[in-house]
Amino acid sequence: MSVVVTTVVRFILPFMQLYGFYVLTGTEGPGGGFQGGVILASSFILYAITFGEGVDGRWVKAFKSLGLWIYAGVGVLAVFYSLFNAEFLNYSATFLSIMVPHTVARGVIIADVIEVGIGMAVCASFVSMFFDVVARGEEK
Amino acid sequence: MIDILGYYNYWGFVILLSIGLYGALACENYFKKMVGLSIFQTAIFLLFISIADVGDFATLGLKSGTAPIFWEELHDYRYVNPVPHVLVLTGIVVAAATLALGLALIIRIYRDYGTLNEEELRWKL
Amino acid sequence: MEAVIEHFPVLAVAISLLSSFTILVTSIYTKRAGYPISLAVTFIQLVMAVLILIGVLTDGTINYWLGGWRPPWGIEYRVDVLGAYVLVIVALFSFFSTVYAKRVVEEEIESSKHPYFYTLWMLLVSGMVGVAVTGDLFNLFVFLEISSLATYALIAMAGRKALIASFNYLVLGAVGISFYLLGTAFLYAATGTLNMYDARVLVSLLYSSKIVQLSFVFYFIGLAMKMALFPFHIWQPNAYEYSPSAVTVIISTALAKINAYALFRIIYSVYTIKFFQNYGIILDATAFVASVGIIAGSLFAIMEKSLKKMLAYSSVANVGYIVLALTLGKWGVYAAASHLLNHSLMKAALFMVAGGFIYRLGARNIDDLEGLGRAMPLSSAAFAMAAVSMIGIPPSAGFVTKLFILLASLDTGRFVFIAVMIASSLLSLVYFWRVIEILYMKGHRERMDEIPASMLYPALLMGILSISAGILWFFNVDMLQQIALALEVK
Repeated sequence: MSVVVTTVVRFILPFMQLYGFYVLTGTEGPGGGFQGGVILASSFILYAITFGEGVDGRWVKAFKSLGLWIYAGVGVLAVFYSLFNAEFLNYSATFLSIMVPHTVARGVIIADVIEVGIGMAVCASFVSMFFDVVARGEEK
Repeated sequence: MIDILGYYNYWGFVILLSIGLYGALACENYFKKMVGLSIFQTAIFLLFISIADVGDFATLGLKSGTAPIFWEELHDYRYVNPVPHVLVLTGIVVAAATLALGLALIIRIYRDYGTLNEEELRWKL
Repeated sequence: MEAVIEHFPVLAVAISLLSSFTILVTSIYTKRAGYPISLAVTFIQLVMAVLILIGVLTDGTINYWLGGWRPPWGIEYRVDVLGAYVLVIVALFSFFSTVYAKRVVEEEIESSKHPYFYTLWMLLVSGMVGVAVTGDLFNLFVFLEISSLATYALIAMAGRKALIASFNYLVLGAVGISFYLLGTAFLYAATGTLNMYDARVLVSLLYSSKIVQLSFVFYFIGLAMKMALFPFHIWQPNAYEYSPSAVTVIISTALAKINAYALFRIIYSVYTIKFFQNYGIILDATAFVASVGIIAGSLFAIMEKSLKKMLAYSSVANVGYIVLALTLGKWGVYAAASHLLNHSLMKAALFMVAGGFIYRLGARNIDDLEGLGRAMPLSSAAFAMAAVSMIGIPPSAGFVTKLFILLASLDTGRFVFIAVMIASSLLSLVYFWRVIEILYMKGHRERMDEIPASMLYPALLMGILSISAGILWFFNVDMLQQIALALEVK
């Protein structure tokens, strides 16, 4: 790649990732996991296109699974922590109940944890989609 | 005339839906099929966000289109129904997954057979 | 204990979802963890499903609000008798398909791909379990799409010809599911709700609305494409023929039934039978399409040379039975509900043995099976029992369905469907007798090894159950009555 592209990409990448994290968790309330994850993934893909380096497939698998584990795990945790009194995904019933007394605030905090999980899974999925297609193209 | 043109987004939905369905079912090239499928799904998303705008009922003395997450005092403002937007977001994710899987299959098919034409591939089955 | 059982529907979805990605992580260290994890999880799901069915039969419908959000705003999981019964069907056939999968997957799929296979397998299972328990139209769409996306990838895993079969299925399946989404959009525009039981109340005021009528047509077209009702069946024979044998078993039993169940749900829980009584034309059109499908599917099956394709066309005919039964009132509901299980039992045995023949001999065509009746007596016996049941000889499973359809036709005075049913029985006699004749009466082969035990015993169990199901249903008519009662069909 030409020096213009590498310089611009090197300059722009931190801002892309920061924006991705902002969309992921920066806003108040739920939502943004998918969009933030896609922005983060696009920064990785841009890096790979410019500098020609791949990612380790094992890390992609691990992040994909970890993201889903965080999402569904917190949901299941709500059921078990409340001894089958709260529903699946009822965030206000999770383990923060001692530290944060306000139920809505608890829900918002846990929702951010969930968003991080979704963002990880989405980011890893899109990165792996890109690299799978690129690798298949090179084989031919 | 304005009655017909006023529903321009619904006309867009109908036209896109027809183009997409034709592309998905009648095109011979597998890649064009996927493009048609994407247009078809996008048309449905357009319908969803069109029906989200429930119109301005303020002239009738009714509170219109308020979102449940906003406070009571803000009810004078007009918001569109947020639920269809959420549905469209989920739908986009599903459409992206379908498209990715379809393209992955197309790459494998092209590598194995060297063609994406439906007529040629049908005789290989 | 009751409080714990209320959580089972959602936990059944969650454990298979979590396990699928656990298999993906373990693939970094070992390629062998997929099968034991899948087997354990599907067994736990089966236990949960049986407990849910017992709980629902004794204590009534389970209403579960996800995240504590009250319906119609939040997503509601609602498991009534029908839902619990379908959940048991899904869990049962997922478990036995998983038992069956071990040897065929080792044979047909290269070992580096095993973790991906079982990851997708568990995703497919969680999608199907989700469809059975959900009470929300859009949630149903998401779960249907999870299961179908997993299926497309699983079919493509066999490589070469399966790629084309999978792509054709993907295009038609995605168009079908988009029609479902379109129906949801129209229904949402008319009623403003996605909860099935809320929609049922609101739709009852809007029967004359063109939007509501059109939304049903879209739902019907979409789900007919998914479950391969006659004019939309083009993808099915190739998908069944070229997919890995284990995948054929699970998609021909559990997945096909889940799509039929979705239509069942929408007809009886959202639109209700009153809607169709007001607009007889929709009911007649549905019954007509189903009847044509029954006859056409049987005729295609007679002309087919390949064993798996023949069974696929027989599935087209049997899906027609379910849809036809849905239009025939109370006895029709009995027929449709019992056929969901009966057809799964028969098709599981048939496809398991067909996959076993491919595994042992590479025999795909019916003509290649000469003399196998003496060479592999137990496998052939499983096949023959299921085939006899498909023809509908009492007291087999197929006979139960045909009896209920007969009673339904007499009850509603639509005698033409009796003729359709008899014609289809005779046609199925023709195409199944051809296979049995080749198995037992033609050619001669030396005795050879049976198909492996993990494949043979599930097939034998399904075969014996499908022969004796008539007697078992005799003791369980009570449950069918409860299903009809829960759907308010009189």
